[in-house]
Amino acid sequence: MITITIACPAAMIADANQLARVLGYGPEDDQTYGAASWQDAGGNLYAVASGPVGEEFPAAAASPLVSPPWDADMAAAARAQALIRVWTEDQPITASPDHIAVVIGDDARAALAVLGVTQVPEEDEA
Amino acid sequence: MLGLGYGIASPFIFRSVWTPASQFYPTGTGLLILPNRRETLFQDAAGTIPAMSPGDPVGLARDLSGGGNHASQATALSKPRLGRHPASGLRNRANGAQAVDTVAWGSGGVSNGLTYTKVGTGTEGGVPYVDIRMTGTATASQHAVGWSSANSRIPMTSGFAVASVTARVIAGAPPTGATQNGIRLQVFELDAAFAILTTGASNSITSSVDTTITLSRGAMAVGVAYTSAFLILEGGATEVIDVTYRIKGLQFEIGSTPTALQHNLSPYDITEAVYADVWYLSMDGVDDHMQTQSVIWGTDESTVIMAMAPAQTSTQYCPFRFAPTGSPGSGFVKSASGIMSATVGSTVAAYAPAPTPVNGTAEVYAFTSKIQTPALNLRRNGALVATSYASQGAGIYADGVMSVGSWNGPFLMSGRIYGLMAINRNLTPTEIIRAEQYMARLAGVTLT
Repeated sequence: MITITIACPAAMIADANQLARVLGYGPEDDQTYGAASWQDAGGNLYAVASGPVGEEFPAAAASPLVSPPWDADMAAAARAQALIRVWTEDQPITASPDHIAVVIGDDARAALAVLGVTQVPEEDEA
Repeated sequence: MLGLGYGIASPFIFRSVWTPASQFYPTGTGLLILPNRRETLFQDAAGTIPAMSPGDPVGLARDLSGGGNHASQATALSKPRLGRHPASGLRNRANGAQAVDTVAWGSGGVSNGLTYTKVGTGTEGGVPYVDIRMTGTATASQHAVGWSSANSRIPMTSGFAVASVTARVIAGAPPTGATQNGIRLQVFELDAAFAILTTGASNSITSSVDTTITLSRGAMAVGVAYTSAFLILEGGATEVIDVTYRIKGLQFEIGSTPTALQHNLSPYDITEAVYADVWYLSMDGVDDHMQTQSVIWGTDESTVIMAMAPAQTSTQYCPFRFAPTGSPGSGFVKSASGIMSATVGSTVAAYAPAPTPVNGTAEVYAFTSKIQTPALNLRRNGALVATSYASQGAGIYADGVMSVGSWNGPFLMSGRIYGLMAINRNLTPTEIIRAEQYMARLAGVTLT
């Protein structure tokens, strides 16, 4: 398995969750992107997700989408897929409101630092 | 008649075995998660696919208290991962260094006229090795491939980091140019975006006998956020080269002196000869967390004991929380200012300065609380570190879900959880000590 970390712009969360539902392991994967509680230096908001996926995930994410056994909004998923950008050493990217940024690597918090997003300070419930 | 001589006072008959699960008998409610009991872990929330191997996602951790309050996570990317490291601690941060048959070592390549080929792997003296052949005529002075520095980033802003490796020439002849041509180590200091701030390199190995080289860096540069290590094979420009090295024992760790080798097969799979494995749930601090069903707590008392290794140093997180917001809600919270607190109600009722280990040193935390005759105790590694008798509100704890690795969603934890026990009564002092000892063994912690 490999680890991916994704920064999804707030405006794309619904579409990105449909893509996760299509590429994921079950319908529950449409909960992948929650609140947009991360921000870039410009104050743009993002939902982030990080975790293990199969080695085949990068190729699958770039291939034509196939409807999963459970229903999904394929049009929304395709919109999200078209906006995916993957960080590489040759072509580094940061989080941006116009794309869904993906970093492949084991250290999720380091990946988010590379993407240039930080957590929006949360209200202390304690 | 067995004739074993067990009399009526024999301890073999009447000494009861203490277990954390027995503390819930007959009426205790709460949660008991023990990652070392891998038969209780599953990759899916439905509990059909076992999570047995390091790196497996964990979608269900069965509650061993007997109450059926299993912790689960259905969303794939939000699942913690199963991991192990030696009871001696987690030192070797060269991820995949001993996974010689995997992509961690690549399969070779061509760089500036030199061809690098992985020509063999195996085990020698119990240590995995990889044979790499370098051939060709270099066309430039910099042409390096080898084990990747991206696999070894250690978050640190000060102190020392040291890399070490053992190698020898097994065929051909090493480059004869500069002393750093051939096989050598390099250690980088990186900023938060992984840009190289400064670096240093070791001399190379030219011997046909196993030779260990080490390279440390300290007095970190301004702006450093990570260190990383790189194993380089390099030849001098225009030199015709054909050499094969046997490489083993790569380790990268905090400190100025190498320690005994740990086998790092992945970030989630590290072992060491002699030492037992400890197992844990790895929380990524981004979205990993688990929840139970809503639980009827039913009392005004609680005891929570956790073995964990938080990896955060600057963000607030909650390793465990029970009872919903709006009524007394409890958990361990570490604030951005470095405070570990046990909280009940809307105010921090007890707190203690907590160390902020760079790499997440395992610790055992325990707290007990009682609402109606307010008492809140926080213990760390077996010692009482904070007490408060301030009001915790009134009544009993509200019913609600229990959250592992978050405060019911936010305040996500980055680090490792080796064991968690939460129960709706105040354990006795003796019971607490036993529970702490149990958790300490799970995490390889020495209690004070």
